[in-house]
Amino acid sequence: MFTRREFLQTTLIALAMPAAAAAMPPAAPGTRARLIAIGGCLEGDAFCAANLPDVTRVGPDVGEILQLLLRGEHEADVGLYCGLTRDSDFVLIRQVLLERGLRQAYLGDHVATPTGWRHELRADAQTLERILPAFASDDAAWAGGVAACCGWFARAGRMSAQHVLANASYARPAAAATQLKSWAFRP
Amino acid sequence: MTTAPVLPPDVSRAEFDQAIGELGEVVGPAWVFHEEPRLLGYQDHFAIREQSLRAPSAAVAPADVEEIQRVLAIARNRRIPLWVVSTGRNLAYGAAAPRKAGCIVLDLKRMNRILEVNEKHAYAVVEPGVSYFDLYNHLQKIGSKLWIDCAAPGWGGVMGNLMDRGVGYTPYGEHFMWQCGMQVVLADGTVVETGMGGQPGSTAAHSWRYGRGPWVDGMFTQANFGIATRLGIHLMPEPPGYRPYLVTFPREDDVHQVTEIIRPLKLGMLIPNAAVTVELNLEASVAVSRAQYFSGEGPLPDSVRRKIMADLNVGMWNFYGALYGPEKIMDNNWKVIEESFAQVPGARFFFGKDRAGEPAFGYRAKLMRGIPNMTEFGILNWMPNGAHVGFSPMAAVDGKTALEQYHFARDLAHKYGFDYTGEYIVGWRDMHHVFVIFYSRDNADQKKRVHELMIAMIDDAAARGYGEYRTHLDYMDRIAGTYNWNNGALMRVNQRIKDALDPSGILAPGKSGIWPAAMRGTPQP
Repeated sequence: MFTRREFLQTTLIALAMPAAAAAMPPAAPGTRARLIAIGGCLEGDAFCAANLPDVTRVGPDVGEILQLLLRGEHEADVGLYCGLTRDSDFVLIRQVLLERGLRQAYLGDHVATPTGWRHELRADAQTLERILPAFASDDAAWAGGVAACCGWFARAGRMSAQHVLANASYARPAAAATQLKSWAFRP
Repeated sequence: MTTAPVLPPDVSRAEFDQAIGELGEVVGPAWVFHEEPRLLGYQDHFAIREQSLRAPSAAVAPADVEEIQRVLAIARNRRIPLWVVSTGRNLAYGAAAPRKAGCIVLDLKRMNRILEVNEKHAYAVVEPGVSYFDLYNHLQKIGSKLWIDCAAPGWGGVMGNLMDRGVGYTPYGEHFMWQCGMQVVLADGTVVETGMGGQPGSTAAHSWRYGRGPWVDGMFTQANFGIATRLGIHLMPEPPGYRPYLVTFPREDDVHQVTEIIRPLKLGMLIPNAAVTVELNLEASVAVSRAQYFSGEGPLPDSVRRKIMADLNVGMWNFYGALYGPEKIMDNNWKVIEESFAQVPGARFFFGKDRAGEPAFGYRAKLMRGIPNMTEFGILNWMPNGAHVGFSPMAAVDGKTALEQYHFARDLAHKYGFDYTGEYIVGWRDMHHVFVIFYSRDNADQKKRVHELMIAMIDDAAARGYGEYRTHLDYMDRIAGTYNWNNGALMRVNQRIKDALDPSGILAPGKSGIWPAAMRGTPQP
């Protein structure tokens, strides 16, 4: 759980280039990203690890982040929205961002089964190529790999390519979400 | 040249382009949306049938009544139908998508002013774009001691939900009951103030809803006779105390006895709020996914349901209510409520301290005191890529009825391979039975079966004397067809009103099954 104070802390960060993605082109000056990750979840923690510490974590109620997006008061210079959330949160955030005229640049559908993970990824071909290595590990680090690619998402074209891959299961709490969505939207 | 993939009916691309230009002159080009990416926000992302059947050609967002009047003039001149939405985010009933493809969505989100909060007389006056979040935050900001009543989705529109006769969960849960004063723009641009507002300088426009003579406000709800642009809504003064509670019941058929117990408690106002009796699957879906318990097809086996019930420490039915008032009153009322429900073998009682940190109790406790939130959408995770549509028949607060509706909905759901996931929202003498049918957005077979299930339930319900209070775009015609007493006299009077107030047929064709004259007689996809 997060305190209201913690939650409301601005989550706008400079679109930093993480070391793991040093080959990426530099972000456009002034472009900032708003990052959102599921709270209380291994994969959410891994997503945050790539961009510490300025990721908004969402618990069972995605309402506060939706209000932030709906108000749009601090969004004028946001060049990328990127997140790892439950599917239900993705659906709601997508609705708000589409209403604001943003377009989806990346979508990852991640389904956990007793035998392993299935990842279905959609982006443009170049972005997809860049993100695939993130899924080489057999632990929750894949989520951090997705976050590390946010610089690419900010430049991605239409989601014209798709790739499906699988990796092994790893220990997770019994109550952990069985489906996650990673996603990116840009103007 | 516009690139909209769909055009209004019987309108050429050139005419459409001209209309888009004219609309841009009225509201500014930035508030006319016709490119495909911008129209994605006006689609039904939970569409059961082909999305193209409900695709808009464009959307236009006026800032005030004068701009609406000018938009209406363009629509009349060019015979382009408009589909009106306030916030357009009721995902279970079609969101902002129009009933008929090609309509231009008239999006009222920009009209989002809270025009008045009257602390003394406990009401507010709002425009269509004001969400529950907006009104709640505003009341907090000004230090008001008034509560709102919100639907489960906090991003929903105060006006939009009320105009669609939605419900909430506080004692003010029957939203339309608390409406008082309405401003409506008719299709010809005439602006009407209803009730006491019809008298210039009225001092009671938001205190006494009826004025004198015929009271027309209800005519504009769930309808396409005009565009509501402002309304007064009564707010609940903060009570001195508030105590939410949960009572769980262990057996499926307990809903009969539970409902019989609820009726006198509601009528006697010992249960003052719009309380809910929630079935196990729906209760569980806020916290867990179906896949965590069962990987097979078809409805959950009983053994799995019992495991979920035990794991989550809930019942087959779960009654959420709340006490309001001074502590002594709440203590006394609780004694009666507890003694009443204790007649059901196995009933268990919980307060907030017993369910701390649990999302289901947490968000219900917020809703019953009018704090908007979005937690309920967690239910979508019950299925992968989850979506939902509501089947919502009305029921008297009657045990036999509740049990029969549950049995027929459950049995039909199972026949079509789905879980029953529903609840009864208890009004004063009615219950809104909301069966939230879950399916996967990307599963064509499931969507086909959901459609078949909806048709079967609508028809079966009507044969049993049950009618739905509200529905998704796809089922408006069919449900309207079940209100067919005396050879459809009710629809015929609706059509006469439609023809009189909107002879050009530009307002929301097909809303609630009411089509303009030119579109009648031909089945609309």
